[in-house]
Amino acid sequence: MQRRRGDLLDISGLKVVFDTYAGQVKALNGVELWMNHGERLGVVGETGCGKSVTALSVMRLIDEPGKIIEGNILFEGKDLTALSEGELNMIRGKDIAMIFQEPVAALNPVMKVGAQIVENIEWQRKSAAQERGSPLQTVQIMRDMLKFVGLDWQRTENLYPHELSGGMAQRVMIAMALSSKPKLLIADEPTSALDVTIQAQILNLLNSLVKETRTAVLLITHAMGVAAQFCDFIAVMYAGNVVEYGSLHAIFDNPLHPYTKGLLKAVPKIGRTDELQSIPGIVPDLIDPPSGCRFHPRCPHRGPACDKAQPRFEPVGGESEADRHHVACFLYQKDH
Amino acid sequence: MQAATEREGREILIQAKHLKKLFAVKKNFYSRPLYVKAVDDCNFSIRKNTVFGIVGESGSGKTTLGRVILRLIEATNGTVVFDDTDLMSLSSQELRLFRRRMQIISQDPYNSLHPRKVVKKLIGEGLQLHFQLSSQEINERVKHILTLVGLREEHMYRYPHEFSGGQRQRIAIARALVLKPEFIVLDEPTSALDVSVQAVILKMLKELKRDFALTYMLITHDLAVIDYMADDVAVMYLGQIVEMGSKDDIFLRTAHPYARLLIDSVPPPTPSEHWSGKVLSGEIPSPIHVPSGCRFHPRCPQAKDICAKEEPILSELQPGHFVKCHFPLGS
Amino acid sequence: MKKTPSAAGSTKETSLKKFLNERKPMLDDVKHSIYLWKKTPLALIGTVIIGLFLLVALFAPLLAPYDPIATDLSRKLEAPSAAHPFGLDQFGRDVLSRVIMGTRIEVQIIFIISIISIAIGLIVGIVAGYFGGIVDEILMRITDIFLAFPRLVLAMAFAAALRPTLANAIVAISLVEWTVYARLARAEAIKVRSQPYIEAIKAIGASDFKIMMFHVLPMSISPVIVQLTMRMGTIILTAASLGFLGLGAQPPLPEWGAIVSDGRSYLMNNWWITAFPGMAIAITVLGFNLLGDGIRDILDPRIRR
Repeated sequence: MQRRRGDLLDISGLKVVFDTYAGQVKALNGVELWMNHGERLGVVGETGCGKSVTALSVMRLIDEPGKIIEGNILFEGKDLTALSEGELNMIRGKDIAMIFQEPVAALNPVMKVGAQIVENIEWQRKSAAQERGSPLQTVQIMRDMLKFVGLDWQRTENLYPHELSGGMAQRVMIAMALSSKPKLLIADEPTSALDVTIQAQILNLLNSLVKETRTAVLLITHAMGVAAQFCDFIAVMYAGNVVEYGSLHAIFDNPLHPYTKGLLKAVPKIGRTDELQSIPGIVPDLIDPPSGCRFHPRCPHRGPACDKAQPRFEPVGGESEADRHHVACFLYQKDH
Repeated sequence: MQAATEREGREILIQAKHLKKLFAVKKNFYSRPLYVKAVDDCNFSIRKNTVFGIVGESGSGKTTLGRVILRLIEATNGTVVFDDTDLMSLSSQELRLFRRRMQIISQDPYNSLHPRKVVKKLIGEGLQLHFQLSSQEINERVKHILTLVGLREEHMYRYPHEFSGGQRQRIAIARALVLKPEFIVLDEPTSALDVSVQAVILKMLKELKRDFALTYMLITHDLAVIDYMADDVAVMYLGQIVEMGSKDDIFLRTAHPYARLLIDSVPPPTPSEHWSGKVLSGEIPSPIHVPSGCRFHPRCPQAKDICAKEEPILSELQPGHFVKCHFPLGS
Repeated sequence: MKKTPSAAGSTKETSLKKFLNERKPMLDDVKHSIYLWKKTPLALIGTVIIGLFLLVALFAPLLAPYDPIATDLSRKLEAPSAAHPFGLDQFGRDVLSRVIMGTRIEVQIIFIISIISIAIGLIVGIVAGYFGGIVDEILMRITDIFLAFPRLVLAMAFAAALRPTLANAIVAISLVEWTVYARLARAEAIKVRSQPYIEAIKAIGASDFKIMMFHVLPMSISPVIVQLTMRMGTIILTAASLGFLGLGAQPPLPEWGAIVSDGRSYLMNNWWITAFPGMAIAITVLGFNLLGDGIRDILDPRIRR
């Protein structure tokens, strides 16, 4: 396990808890995840599975009352959990950028869009201890970025965030995020608040931009269609664990974990003729999560061992190395 | 005429004619009001025991249409006939009594239940209004309906915030169903829910429709949900119905370029299926300043000169399949 | 009738358990409130002050060592002593007894003004907010007229016009106070009106009256209550001011403002007549303000969750 599994990002054994009035929420329970430069990894799962917390942990944006209690987040070999706030600021927004579900809320409401991007570029330069370019140069970069994301800069730079539509605002966010040429872009539900036609535009845009710039993307989404059409690798999360991880092909064509199977059967699809299947039961309360495998109360293949211990997250043999197919389920463990 | 409107021999429950809703917006106190055409001349009929799906992007007016049908928002113009009753002519007193027969389940399960009322109150309220029942009988009916929607008796004295989104949506369904309605407007019933929960709720709605002989009007932006649930579909764009027909008419014999592009922009949840990724350019224009002629022409890949000048009419391509386009696809 | 005692006891117990179980969420809510209460020390201090104030009012006749209106001119203006800790006033009345008996009058004032002004305010505010449009315009312009005058001046005008008695002072203050609650209730009603759950209730077939009464009102009431607790201090001050100006409670009624007024000509040499009731006013106002802040925090959903 000490070997670095992904040369860009390698999360191992990540545990995050939140202390609340009602008790301690065990939000992440040993997350395992890794990716290489230029790859697109989709993290899918339902509300409360911990996919957003994972993304925020990578940015080290977990605030009180939450804290990272265990695990490592290696970013190009550096352990992000051990860095100081100052060192993190060198990485945040520079090497790792983030876009959110509600782009309008992420922008400053009283500042024109152009000025915000300019400020952002200058701030990045400062934190990276680079030379300050001339203001004219910076403005030119801002306009190039707006053009880059398919916006008309003459019109857009003088607008306030509330004058942007959801799609335009997300483009502006992408422009800001990519202006620092990050190595990793974390996209937290970037299209969930948008209409399908706009979602298609944004996905296509992201697709071509990250290919062009070879930016790796960690895409957090609950929409299986988005993950299926955009990503190279998929991690399925349930109640604070990555339960299955592997290439797009491995997850969609050969799902192993009972939860992944259930999830895929629950997704409605145009032209689908069979009945939808649902997963019985409800998502567990993470203040008092089920013992052993957290999925066992809802699992159709529950065995005697499932409520005793947490299944190990292990590679599944017999498949090509490139699939990286891993699963955390007793059904596939050799000693069971 | 009978044959065209009563396909498959099913009677018509709801007939909407020339429905129109304008909202006045004022920039400031002194300016002359501008009108948003939220719903603009919509005509359709809903057959008994079917699901009539309405699909469109945000700003298409689909939500307003659902409200206007139930007179939760007063229409500017037009009529709605519900099983021989002209809804628009009812007095407010008559309308209140009539509401028992038509219910709505709205999108947001977190705000559609009064936060300070326990489940029994939430569901029992309608019973108190419409039926002369003893508190014992109300109790019994609430219990019964809870088990029907997959909740338990002990949930009766809990507050909404103690339930998950899916459970809240079940409560909302129970609240509508307990009145024994004939018609339910489902306004994005599952768009706030996770996929696995969505599957349960959609299946349940289908079963309830069968068991209680219900008629649904399903409003959603999710084409996959429409495909799963609906019998007939209307596609809306900027307040107008641009294509309407049976589900197969819409998905397999798509005639309107907008409907086509809408269907193509949905990423299929299977990687093996190639996503054409054809992208509809531009965004839905503001409904205050609607484009001239065909409202879709600025974004339409097939637009010709006439499209900017002349508004097409909703014409019948095949029996029951209507399209509002000068150059419908496949013809 | 022939049930064995143990069986009767157990059914009783189970029904009690069932009763508690059914109301568990409510109990949890109360527990949570108490927990939050304990975490805000200022609210606790406010509660203690107001608690004491109410206790004193309740047991005033037992606590007051002397008759508050019995005069003894031979001992007028006597300084505080062991027998008369707050001293005696210009008519030889015991100031402590007057202050203690005064709590009863203050409680009366607060209670009646609260009821009248909240009733008017809620009705006007909810009707205006719920219906909107022209109804809202008319009701709110009326409210604006009341708000256009300085509160105290308007209350004085009413009190003077109505003949200066305590009852008229109460009416005068109520007529000024309701505007605060009307505006607040209107803002809440507008917020609640557009909530999906109100639409849902409308869709069930409830009448406007029922919706306002059973759905909008319960949601609007908590900010009004908070505001009321915060304004109680001001109400006492206004009542005291009217009393001080001779427009409220008339002598020999031991209303605090009137007592302060009594002592004002003797302030230089006989400070106790004014100082003790003045302190009583100050402490009570402070208590209400702390309590109001505390209640606001506890009812604030952002702090609750």
